[in-house]
Amino acid sequence: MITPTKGIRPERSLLYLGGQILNDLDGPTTVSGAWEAFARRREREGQDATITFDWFVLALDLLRALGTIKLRDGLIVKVTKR
Amino acid sequence: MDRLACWWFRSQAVLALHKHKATAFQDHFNDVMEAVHGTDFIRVRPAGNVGDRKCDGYLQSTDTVFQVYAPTLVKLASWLTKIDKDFAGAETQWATMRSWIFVHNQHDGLPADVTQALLKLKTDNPALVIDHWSPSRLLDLTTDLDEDRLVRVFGHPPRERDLRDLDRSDIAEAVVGLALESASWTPNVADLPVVDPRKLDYNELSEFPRRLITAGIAQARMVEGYFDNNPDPTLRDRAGMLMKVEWLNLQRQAVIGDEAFHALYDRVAANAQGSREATASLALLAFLFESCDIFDNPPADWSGTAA
Repeated sequence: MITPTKGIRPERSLLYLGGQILNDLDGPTTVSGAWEAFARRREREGQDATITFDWFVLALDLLRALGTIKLRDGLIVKVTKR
Repeated sequence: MDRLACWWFRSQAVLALHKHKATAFQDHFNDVMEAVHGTDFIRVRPAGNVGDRKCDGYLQSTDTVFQVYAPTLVKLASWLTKIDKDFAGAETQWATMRSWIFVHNQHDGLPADVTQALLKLKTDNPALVIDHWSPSRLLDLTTDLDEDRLVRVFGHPPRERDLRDLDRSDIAEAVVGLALESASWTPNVADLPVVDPRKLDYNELSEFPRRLITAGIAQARMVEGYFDNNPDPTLRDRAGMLMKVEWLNLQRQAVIGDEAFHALYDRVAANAQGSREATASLALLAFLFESCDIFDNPPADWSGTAA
């Protein structure tokens, strides 16, 4: 489910979704803000496969586990490399 | 009759004669005879210490005693003893008997000694009609049955008209019927090969299962759409893995070809209550066949042809 499988298309895999979330994370945002930006992007790109909020949160968990995002003052922010 | 239903009934009728042995074969024989003859046929069951008095079924209009013998293993001596004992017993215990028919499950014919024993019975008892029925006779009996009676014997078939207007809610029910939580899921993409058009040949599927799969595949895209839009993205993999495990279990038991196809169909359609559910089950099974979750792919160098 992190990477695509026989039954999970690339555009539903958590890694792909994480990439989409990161692309829209220009500044600190709430989980709801990130979810809305993500939904707008999927609509813009014509990706109509169902992504539930639960699955979106799993993608956030993956980004956190990979060290690419963190929570600061209750907001999601990108981790910048030094 | 609906074309898809017709193929399904034919396939079920052939399979039943190969699959059932011993009392299961006798039960099938009784089901068919009741469907064909209605109340004219009496199903006889063993009772107490007198058993069935050497009669497995009685046809009233012709006063025929049927004796069914469908052993798992063929032992010549047992056959000969059984024929003699069963006939003698029936003759003694059924005073009304005008005809005695020996029903067996030997698709390749009877051993010569058994044939001779039956012929001798005929010669020795000119006042009686003595005959034997091979499995193909039972198959013929189901050929002209109307649809309602076929449903009574074989259950609800998939139908072409349902296949045309299946929607995702039908597939949802079929997937729910799989009871996915019973399978552990360990995805391994390397184990899941790509589809090969020679697969029907390689897996030794006969005419009617081939037609059923081919018809069901017409709705494979719709099944795929159902999985793509399901809120749970892992559902497709879990369904595929569950059926793959079922398939591997069948292979371990040396169940292949048509029998494996029907065992997998029965698994998918376990909760089907009518033809629409049966049709959705067929579409789901065909999708899993096409996507190679079930059945083997032929090796690259395999050059076999259709059965």
